[in-house]
Amino acid sequence: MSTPADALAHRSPAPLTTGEAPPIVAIGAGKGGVGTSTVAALLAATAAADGLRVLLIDASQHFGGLGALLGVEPALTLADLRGGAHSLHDVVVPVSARLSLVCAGYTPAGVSPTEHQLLLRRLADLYREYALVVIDAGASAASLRNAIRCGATRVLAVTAHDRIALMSTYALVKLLHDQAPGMRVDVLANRVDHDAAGRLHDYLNGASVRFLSRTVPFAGLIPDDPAFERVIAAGLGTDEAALGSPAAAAVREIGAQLLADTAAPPFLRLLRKG
Amino acid sequence: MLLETFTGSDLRLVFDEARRALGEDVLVLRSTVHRDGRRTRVELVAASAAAIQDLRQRLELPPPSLPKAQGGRGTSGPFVLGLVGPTGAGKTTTAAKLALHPRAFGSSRVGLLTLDTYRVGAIEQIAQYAEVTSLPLEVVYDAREMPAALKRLEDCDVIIIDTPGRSPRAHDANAQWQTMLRAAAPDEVHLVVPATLRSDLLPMMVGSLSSCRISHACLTKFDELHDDRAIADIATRLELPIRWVTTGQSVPTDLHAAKGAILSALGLPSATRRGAAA
Repeated sequence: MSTPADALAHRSPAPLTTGEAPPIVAIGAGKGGVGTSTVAALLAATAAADGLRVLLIDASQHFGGLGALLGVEPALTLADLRGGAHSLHDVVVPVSARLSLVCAGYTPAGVSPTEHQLLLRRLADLYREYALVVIDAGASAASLRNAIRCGATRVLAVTAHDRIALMSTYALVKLLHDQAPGMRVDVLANRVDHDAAGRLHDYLNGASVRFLSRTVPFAGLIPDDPAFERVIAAGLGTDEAALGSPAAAAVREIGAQLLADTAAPPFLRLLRKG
Repeated sequence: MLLETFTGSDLRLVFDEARRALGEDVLVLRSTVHRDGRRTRVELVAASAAAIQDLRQRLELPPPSLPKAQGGRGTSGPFVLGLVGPTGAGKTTTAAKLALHPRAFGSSRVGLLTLDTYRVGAIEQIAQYAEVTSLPLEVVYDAREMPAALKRLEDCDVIIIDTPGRSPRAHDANAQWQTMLRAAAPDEVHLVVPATLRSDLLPMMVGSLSSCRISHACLTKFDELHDDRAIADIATRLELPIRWVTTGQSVPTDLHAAKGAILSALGLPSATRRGAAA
């Protein structure tokens, strides 16, 4: 006869989505300022430009970061899902024909953090309508945990070429190793050249192998692109800023590789194209 | 009243009195002899066979008809169980016990749904249980959200609905969550009631929850009752089938089959003479 303790021991986390679900990628970082929002926006925008229907979720705990980056403003928050007057589709903001955004990171007034997490999980009902879901988890452990609760199936840990970024990226890998042991974590080096990216990855992978007995795959690097930053700062949308940008080209390549890695057969991905 | 007490100086006379009051097949549950100097006083606690039979019938229940037992999901959807009751009865803790105890729903996949968005910390409490046990949880704020919430839990075999405990006088608030519960069309609705509750308060409580279509009762805090008369009193007055009782705050171990717990508290065997097992 099984005991209550057995019942607890054999439980495994419930999947948020069943059946055919798209890749759900969380973009996280160990510290602020390394560019998770830019990477998330570029990844979503370039995949959408390549013909995929993409859902971008802003799960970082700052209000409106991605909305501002993409030049849209949400009218509703997740709090509006309470009460049944609004549907999930009402909180989805169309950015372009194939790219949609949900601003879900900050906790709306009058909503407890627990309620917020539960409302976030409702977003999983939207996933089947898209070929790719990108979640910007920003730089906090809490928002990355929320992204995983939202169903993220892999994490891109964005790092940069400074010691604090490097150390905090290792801390992030360690945190995920402890709290989400099955989660694939890839490192993405932002605003670096090939040599620096190689050194960053060698350090992180070496430390992970030595202390965590796991490897950390290298997703790719995004070169420093001052022109892109200037155009974004001037208020142009990501779509326009991405034109001719080396950073956007690098992210496009990373996104294509990421999609190629997923289990979904190519014909299904084609079917999901908008 | 299930149990009657008869006293006198002679056991035979007291038993005759019990037989006259409760019938030839009276069941004596307990006899006590008190000696005070040269005086002897005999006390018999007895019940009519018909009353005991009625109680047994309310405790000998078939297991819930889960979709798995009917040949898999998809034909009838998950089994939906609602828990209603007064404030502090232990509905949320009982929901967690039912979700996790192997003798409640076995290896079935259980989902939780709460309508309690009123009490401070209620969502956090049930969310903590859901988090540590990896059970899916939905919060519903309005009846319009119910179909989508049930759809999100459609992969479950069992859905347990926790409800707010509100004063019977909070008519509007009660009407609101009771509408939500009806929208879930539960297969069973259990009145979760502390065994320590004054039984004369039961009618008012049941009346205020009448629109919930209560089908069963679940006695909580059963361990806080040490008097077989009080157990018999509340079990009789409830007039509802009882499948489970709870005896403490340990989740999920303090959940027990009502039949064994109540009958043994009354000094009655769980199995009938023909050997029907619990």
